Amino acid sequence: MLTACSTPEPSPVPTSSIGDGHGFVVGAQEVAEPPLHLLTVSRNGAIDQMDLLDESWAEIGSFESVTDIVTDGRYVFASDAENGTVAIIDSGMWTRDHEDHFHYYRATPRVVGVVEGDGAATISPGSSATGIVFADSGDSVMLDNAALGDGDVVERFRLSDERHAGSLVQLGSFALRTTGEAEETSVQVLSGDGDVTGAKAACADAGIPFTTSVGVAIPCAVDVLLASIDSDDIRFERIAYPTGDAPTATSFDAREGRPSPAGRAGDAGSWLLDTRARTLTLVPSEQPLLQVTAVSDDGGHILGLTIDGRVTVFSADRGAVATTKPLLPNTLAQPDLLAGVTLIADQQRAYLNAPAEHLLYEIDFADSARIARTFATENAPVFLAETGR
Amino acid sequence: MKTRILAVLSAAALAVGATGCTPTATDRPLIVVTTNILGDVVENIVGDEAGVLTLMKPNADPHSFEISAREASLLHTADLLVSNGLGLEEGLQQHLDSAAANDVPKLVAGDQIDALDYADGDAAGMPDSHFWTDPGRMMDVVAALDTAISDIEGVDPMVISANTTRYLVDLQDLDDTMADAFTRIPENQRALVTNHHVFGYLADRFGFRVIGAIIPGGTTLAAPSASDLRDLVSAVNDAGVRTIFAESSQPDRLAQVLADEAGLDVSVVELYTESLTAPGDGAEDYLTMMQVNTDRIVTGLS
Repeated sequence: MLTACSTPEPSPVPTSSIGDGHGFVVGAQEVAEPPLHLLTVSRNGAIDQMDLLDESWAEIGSFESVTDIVTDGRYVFASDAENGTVAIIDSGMWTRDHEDHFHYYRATPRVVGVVEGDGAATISPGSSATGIVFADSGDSVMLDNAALGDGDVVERFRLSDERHAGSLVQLGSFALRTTGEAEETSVQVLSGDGDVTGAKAACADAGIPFTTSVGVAIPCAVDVLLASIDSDDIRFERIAYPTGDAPTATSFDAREGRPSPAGRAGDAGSWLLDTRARTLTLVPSEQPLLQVTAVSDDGGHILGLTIDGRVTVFSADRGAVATTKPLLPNTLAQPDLLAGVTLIADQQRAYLNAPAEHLLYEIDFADSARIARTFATENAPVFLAETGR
Repeated sequence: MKTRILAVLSAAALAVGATGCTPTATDRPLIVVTTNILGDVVENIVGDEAGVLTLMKPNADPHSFEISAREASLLHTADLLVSNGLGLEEGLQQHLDSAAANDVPKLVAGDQIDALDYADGDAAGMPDSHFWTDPGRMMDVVAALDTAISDIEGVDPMVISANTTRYLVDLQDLDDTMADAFTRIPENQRALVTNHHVFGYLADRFGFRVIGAIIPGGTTLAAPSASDLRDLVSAVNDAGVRTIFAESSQPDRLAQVLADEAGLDVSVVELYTESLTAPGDGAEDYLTMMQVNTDRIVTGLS
């Protein structure tokens, strides 16, 4: 009888395409907490992933060469500037935000496919789509994230432009694309299908877009352009730097989904960008910083990798409050390896790869920058991403 | 109306064949229900008067489960569509909207109750969709289901009414049992220190405080420091309880770390939240789920 059918067997017919873009995958297992992993890429392109809960390693695949990686917390985009390609890896680990709570999933990691282009790629993850711009062809490609979850590389649109190192990023049902070069650069609003809407804003020397819970922040030469959704339209606002000599930021970083990322202020320290209050605050550092990322909103805490290889914790009010010992002396001597070093923060811990040392560090930034764990790696971890967030 | 019922039946018969069930009656109307908690409640009221198709599988996430193309088409031809509402079925919403546009009669449980808003957090001010943790509000929904199901052509309203009366007695018993059991907990200890986000209605009805706490995850438990535990330790101390109700991948490790690092002797107990389980796995129907949670809360806090 029909009532016995209330729990039918998995259907052999194709499932309908519902969901909000995070993409529930049949076969994924819901778990009790974020399935945090560290994904590394070695010099010879081997992709390995370590489970931060039990420290077990798994091989995911291998690529001929990788020159940079970017992640949205689930998908890892490995670009190869020489071949002009972006390979997409589904780490199989992800978190869904339901506003009042989160859900966490685990599935089998896999290589999804490759996007072809020309030259180095600038990759900007969004909530339901990922923008890629290939510098040598000027092609802008918007990938559908839900399709990636199904194992398919689907281009929502691909636009050709003059060759330039720009960016493309999703914002709500729109996309933002940089056009022009150097001081002539502007940010134009595209529809979700890639049609030019006509709205745009100037942004000389546009840097890398960063998506916060408020909108998309794009560093420009003299200010930061903030694009946000305002009743089904894109609103542009300009956030000014305070007066002073510190160089402006060219990129921002923060732990997932927070409103206040941090960016390097040249050798002067870092800029804390509050996209809610629309302010920029200089957090000076005695030591020049190689990388920065923001970890909290209220205390204004920033992590910086100093030029002597320490991870230092800064408070927006009090400056440097804690620091580690030098963590990567050998890597610092090898500029090609240093380029892949990445300082990543999540809610509780920060992670840093030391490729020449074959080490990954886990740092408890809230406890005097204590080194909580150190993981030895078989291959040199040239690139690092944290997945499962 | 007659044509539509025939269309439903052929679709239903297909579904039945594909899932290996044997239909005993081919002339019954079809009720489609989104969540498995409501599915169980509806089955109790309907008995053999109609077929019930529950879309959400056991142990699934009500916010994001998928339905097949076949289920989507059945949903459009149902004689009644029962959903939770209050934003719970976000992944299904477009299907629910298009069924409503096709004039499928619907009952949204959240519209039948006195809804609460979240008091704090990122979702503050938004309605809390987890009304089922209060059996009293479930009784309101059951009363509305009685009317909606009785209106379906082909069901016997007398049978539905009798089933409803019987099930309302069960719910009243549950409500009485819970109220009685919770009085065994000293009033100042009626506090749920938890990372579960669904117990607002239970707390509202039975006079509990819900103290949301950050439960340290695996990466913190691997090499913890006092600062990792500060939020949880202060929540436990404020509440004066010896049990926390948490979803954790390593509950034993969490209890051990709290003992070692903070000198706290607490148990870590999980509750059933948003989904029934498969039969035999602990929470196979709504009444059992509520009873098990009640037992665990009373044991943990008395």
